[in-house]
Amino acid sequence: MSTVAEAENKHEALPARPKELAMHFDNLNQQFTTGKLGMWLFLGQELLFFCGLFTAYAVYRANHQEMFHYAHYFLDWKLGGLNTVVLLCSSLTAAWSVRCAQLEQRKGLIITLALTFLAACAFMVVKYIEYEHKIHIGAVWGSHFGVAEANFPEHLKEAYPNLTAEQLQQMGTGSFFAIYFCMTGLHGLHVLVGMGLYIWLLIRAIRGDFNRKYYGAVDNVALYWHIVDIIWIFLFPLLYLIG
Amino acid sequence: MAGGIVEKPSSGVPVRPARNYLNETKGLKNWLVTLDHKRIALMYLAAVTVALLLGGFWAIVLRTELLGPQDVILSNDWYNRAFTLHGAVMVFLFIIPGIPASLGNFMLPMQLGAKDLALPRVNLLSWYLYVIGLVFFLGVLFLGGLDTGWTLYPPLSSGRPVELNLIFAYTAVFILGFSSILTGVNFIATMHKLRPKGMTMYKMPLFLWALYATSLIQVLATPVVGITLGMSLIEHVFKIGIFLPQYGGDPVLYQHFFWFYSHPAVYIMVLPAMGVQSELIATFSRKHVFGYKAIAWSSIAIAAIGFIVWGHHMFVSGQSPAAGIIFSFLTFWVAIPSAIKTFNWVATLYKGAIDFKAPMIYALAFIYLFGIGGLTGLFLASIANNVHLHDTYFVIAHFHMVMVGSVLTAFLGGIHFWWPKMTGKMYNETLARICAVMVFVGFNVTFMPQFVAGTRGMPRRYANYMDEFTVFHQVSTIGAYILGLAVVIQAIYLVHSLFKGKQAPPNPWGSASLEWQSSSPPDFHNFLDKPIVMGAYDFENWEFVSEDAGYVLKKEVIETGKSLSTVH
Amino acid sequence: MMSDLSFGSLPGLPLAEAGGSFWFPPQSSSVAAGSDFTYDLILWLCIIFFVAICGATMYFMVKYRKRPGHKEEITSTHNTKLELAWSIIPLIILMVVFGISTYWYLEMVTPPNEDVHEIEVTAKQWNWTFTYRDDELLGQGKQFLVPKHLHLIKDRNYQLVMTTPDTDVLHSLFIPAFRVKQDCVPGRYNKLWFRPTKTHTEAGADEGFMLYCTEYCGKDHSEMLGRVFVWDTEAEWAAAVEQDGNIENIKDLVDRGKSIYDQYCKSCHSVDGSDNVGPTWKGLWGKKETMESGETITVDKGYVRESVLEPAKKVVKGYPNSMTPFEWGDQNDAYFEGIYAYMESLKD
Repeated sequence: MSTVAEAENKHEALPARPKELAMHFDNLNQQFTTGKLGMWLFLGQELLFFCGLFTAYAVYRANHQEMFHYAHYFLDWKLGGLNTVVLLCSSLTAAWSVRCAQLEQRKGLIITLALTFLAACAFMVVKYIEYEHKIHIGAVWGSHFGVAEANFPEHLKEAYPNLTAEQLQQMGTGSFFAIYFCMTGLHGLHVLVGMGLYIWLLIRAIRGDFNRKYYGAVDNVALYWHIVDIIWIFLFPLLYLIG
Repeated sequence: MAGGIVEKPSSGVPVRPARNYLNETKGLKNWLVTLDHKRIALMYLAAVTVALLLGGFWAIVLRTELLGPQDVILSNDWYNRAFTLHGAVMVFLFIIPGIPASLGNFMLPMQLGAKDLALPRVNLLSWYLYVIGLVFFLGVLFLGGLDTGWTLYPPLSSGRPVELNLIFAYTAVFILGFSSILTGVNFIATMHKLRPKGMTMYKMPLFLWALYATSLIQVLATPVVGITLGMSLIEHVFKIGIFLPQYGGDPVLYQHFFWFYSHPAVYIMVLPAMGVQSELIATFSRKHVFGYKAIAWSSIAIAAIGFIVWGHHMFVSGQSPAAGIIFSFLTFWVAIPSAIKTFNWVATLYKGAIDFKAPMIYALAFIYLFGIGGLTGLFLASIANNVHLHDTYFVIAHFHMVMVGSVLTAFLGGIHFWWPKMTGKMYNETLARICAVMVFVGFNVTFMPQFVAGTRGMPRRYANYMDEFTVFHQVSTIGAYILGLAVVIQAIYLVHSLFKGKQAPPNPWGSASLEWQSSSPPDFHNFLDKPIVMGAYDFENWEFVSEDAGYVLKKEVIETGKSLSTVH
Repeated sequence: MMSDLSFGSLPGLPLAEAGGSFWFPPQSSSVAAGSDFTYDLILWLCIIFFVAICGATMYFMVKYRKRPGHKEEITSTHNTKLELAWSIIPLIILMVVFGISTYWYLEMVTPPNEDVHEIEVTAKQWNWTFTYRDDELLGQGKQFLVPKHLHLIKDRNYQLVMTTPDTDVLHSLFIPAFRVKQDCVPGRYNKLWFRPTKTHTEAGADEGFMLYCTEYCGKDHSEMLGRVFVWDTEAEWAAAVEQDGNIENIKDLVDRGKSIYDQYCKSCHSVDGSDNVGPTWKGLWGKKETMESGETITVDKGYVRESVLEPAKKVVKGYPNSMTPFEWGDQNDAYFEGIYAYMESLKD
């Protein structure tokens, strides 16, 4: 007989469940793998999200080869390279934090999470320096583009001493920077979201929420962080290095 | 008692548990923070119904304007706003989330025999994103509407001076996209990870296979429209020159991006409808569905082919003839899995016992309407014909037959089918049958004349038209009124049933998928006991008791915990 | 011969127009027959499949309806041979249809190598302009810009070269009687080829064939119509083009200006004082306007002419610099006379 009272009794009669285990899962392993599958699917969506921009990049590059060549001189590969190194290091600390969580090394976990967060901050600072400079000299999107010859980067002047500001503008160099700001801007937005997530993890780690059976959040955020890193690994050569 | 079936005392009336998911907790606040998939599904149902009525309102306004060749009730400006809002609201707010987010959300865990979706918080988040999108669209309306067409083609859209309502529209679609993506992620994770022991993929009801295919598209296609509209928004505000020719952009690139999503989106709309259709046909003919695996895999095939046919929206855009021919070739392939499904549904009826309950009338109408919608797609896939028919009323009629004729029919059929389960109440069957017939007649009267208007050259999105088309438009408008009236009557008797309807038995139809082993309405945890896992179409496990008690599991099934069915 | 190909117009034509089938206007171009042939072919295939599907459904509905004494039977749940058959046979049929359709499409898009006459088409919100040049028939170096009216000679090969100004939006040119359609995209030159095979009077369209815009282009999309006239002889054609295209044919200067305004200026400038993309013309003539640069200018002949030919040079403060330049070749003076007169007539 399924009376209300009996139904309630049945729920109480279930074996003791870990407090981290959500109502609808049978065990922590199922919960963990479900979260992880969800994260992978989300990352698949992220890739396609960026794919739109990569395709736009490819189309415009094919249509305006020369312009892309000139425009890439405006990007400082040293700053870009620095940011690449920063992000790669942060990926290492992110992966490390997962290991720490698995081994229940709370101190290590807190340190690696904090390091990842700091690396993300460093990335954003460098990004700010780059953006600030570009906006200052007028290397911006669409019809707003207009860089005086005096502000041309040194190596552009060396390579093409006769290039004038007007020529560059008429070539439609603004399109390059439209793409540049869209791609790096969207990537930067993802870094900002990642920073928020790492603060959240840091609070939870300090509170001691994680253990060897329950560390899905650390793992999933690290996965997210790796995809942010990988996207940058593609952006850097496409924008900064290929001439 | 095993099987979650409430025992039948001597009186013959089933006992209902006093507590269910509807009355587990009370108060608006408890609903707004609920993580229960059933409650979220109902909240979705309420929201998409608002969208349906809003979009339907604009449809009626449009059709009224088209009663005469010159201005009837609207100026050109307002006609353009009306069709933009009709399209955008119907596509983004009703058809795309309609079936998966409401019926799918409710039934997916129940049909699997699970307690909830894999990621309940994500589920709630996606509902909130949906509502934010809806609010943004209401904002567009409040700001005086939008006249860009739902496709938001540049330069007409982003090329204009900065307009707040356009910004709202971009934002709305962007946010709705993420709502849709999160639903897809959730569904796939649930189907992979929350199937209880014994519930194999091939035991799942075909509705779930359809949802699986739908979710794949949602996850893989929607982000592309997200980024496209994101870029358009930025371009609209900053004029950066990605799609605007004035600043060095390419408007045709936008069309490629847009249809890379929006063509698969057509299958986001129609696949769940096909899923519902499979359930209805099998249940009401009391037959194991014919060609289960073929139907299941044809859903996946449609999803896959759907990704590579977007160029058929652009046959006359100036893309190269070679590209056009390739897209035409690929488009023909979509017909095959669609045909397979249709043949299988018809074959399922063979030697059944066909019960013309309201949901079944919808299902039979679906075969007819989808038949027309699908077959007229062949004219448009054929590139020599498409040139003439492109952007005429022929296209309007074709996609309404599929997107409305089939999807709305399946949505209404599904609502009626699962209404007793979701609410615990029976609706008025006579009224429901009358409305089902009205919907069917209304569709045909509305859209059949449009095919002829189209072949004769009536272009779409025309506020005023040549006198020769008047008769087609007038007949079409009468059809739209019939359809509108039917939907309003339905809304009335369904709401009425909530208060005055008869109590529903756990399984009024004798359907065999697992949700019917739960009480009506279900317990907060879906099932009081673990349901007996069986094939979704093993109707022989159920026997009819009475109109009030519906169907119950046979004794030997309960005792052995095994299905009696021998066919698989 | 090709026009005989249509083998399947629906029986019973209560709504049929003279000379056309139930479905289509009369075939009046070289590409129409192929398009209609494909249509009929698919139509008959669809009818066969549709009748089969719905017939079977209805038969089952009656025969196996639920009723006392009738019980469902368990039948086999799949049949590989049957399922393969109903997948593969339709596929083969569809591939044949694809082949036929593609054959006709290639006919449609491949212009002949020689004897192709080009006509420039400019689509703007919400007007068509056709530019005619023909040294032999219209005079050496002459060009005529004709709004709305596409004049053609029967049995000549034409290629329309179509474009839209960068600042405008997408349009699409559609002539149902010819079964042709092509988008006009800003910044691109799309081409459309056909050969008219019937004059408009032969086809029963005494007011000309309809020409529509079929890509939604904003407020007056449904007003963006044109007419196609197909003439038997070169002389008729040349006379019609001259009649439509020579602005001096409109003797009254204010009327001339009004017609130019309707054609080129209306979408951005009002004449009733309401604000639009550009300044209203009501009371504009002789008014002092402040420019973006800060200088003040009186609106007179010189300024108006400059603003039409080179609009970006001096833009009135508060308005976007988005106007396209206009130019009418050797008819410039005649056009401007009309514009001046019309603007003057709008003085307060």
